[in-house]
Amino acid sequence: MNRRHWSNRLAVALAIALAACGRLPATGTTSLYDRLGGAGVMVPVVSETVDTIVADPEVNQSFQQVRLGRVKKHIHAFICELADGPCTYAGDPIKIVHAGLGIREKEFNALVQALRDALHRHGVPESAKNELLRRLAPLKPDIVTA
Amino acid sequence: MRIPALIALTALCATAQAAGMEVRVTDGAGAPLGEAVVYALPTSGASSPGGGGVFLIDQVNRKFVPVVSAVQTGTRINFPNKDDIRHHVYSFSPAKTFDIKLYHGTPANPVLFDKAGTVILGCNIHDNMVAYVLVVDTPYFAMTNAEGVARLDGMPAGTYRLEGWHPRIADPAHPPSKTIELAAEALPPLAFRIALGAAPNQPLFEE
Repeated sequence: MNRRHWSNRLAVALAIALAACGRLPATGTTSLYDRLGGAGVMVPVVSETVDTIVADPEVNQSFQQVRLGRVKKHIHAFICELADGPCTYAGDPIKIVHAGLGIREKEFNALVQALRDALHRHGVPESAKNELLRRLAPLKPDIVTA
Repeated sequence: MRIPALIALTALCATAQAAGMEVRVTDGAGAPLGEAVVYALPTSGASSPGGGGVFLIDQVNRKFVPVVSAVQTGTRINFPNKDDIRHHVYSFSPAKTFDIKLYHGTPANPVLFDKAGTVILGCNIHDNMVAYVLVVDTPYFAMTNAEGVARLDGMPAGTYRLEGWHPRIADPAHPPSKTIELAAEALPPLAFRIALGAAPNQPLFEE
């Protein structure tokens, strides 16, 4: 047995392992949450999205005096559950949560844009990003009430 | 025979008649202190008939109204939500631990405050929403006005321990106190000084 023999075996093993890796997304066993990058990506994405809105006086009125840590936790859990991740959203129904806030199209769009930007910054693949936004879209009538 | 009868009648009046007194509260620097509570506990320890009443603490524009209140043990407090949005009132205070979700236009059950002590209220959804309730084991209590003056009335003659409190009292374990003897006629005004500290910490509701 010489050195070359071993390096060949190593190359074969590596090739098999890489092939297996490459096949994973195609098997359909990976959740959207995983494709979004899991908690490591989505926790900061949600946090930055909320911070962007809070910093903008044009669209931040719904967040005034609001406990942001709690809101971020709830939004992350909601998205995680919606994206088939390992979370359970324990907050109130989305319609009740937003009732009375008088959210307009403008605020809603600003948040969607902030979310898009944050997902982009964190290198989330286009397909996963679009799939998440597609799943979030039906919530709009429960959120925009003004 | 007529005069002794009159004296006896007067004496009877004296024991039954209720009296009161004024308390002037200042802070550690001697400035008049508003929103302080003074209360008189009968030293006989005889528990007065329980509160049983209903008190209101509103939520208006993401604030509790009133911020400071005092109630007798046995009082139920209702929390009407006057805002369009939801609130989630809670307390971790030993005198009353509870949480109650309050949706716009949906009345919630009142909360019974059956133990004496200080209760700090917060809102799980909104920072800076805080209220203080002092629950006292007596019907004789009053809050100071902006001039630091509180008036206790309707107290039957007897011996009382008078105490003072403020949400920011520096040493809550040692409130100012004085034992008083109350007869038919009102006592001269009494002075209490309450040194203030930082507002007490309010733990977050983790949900």
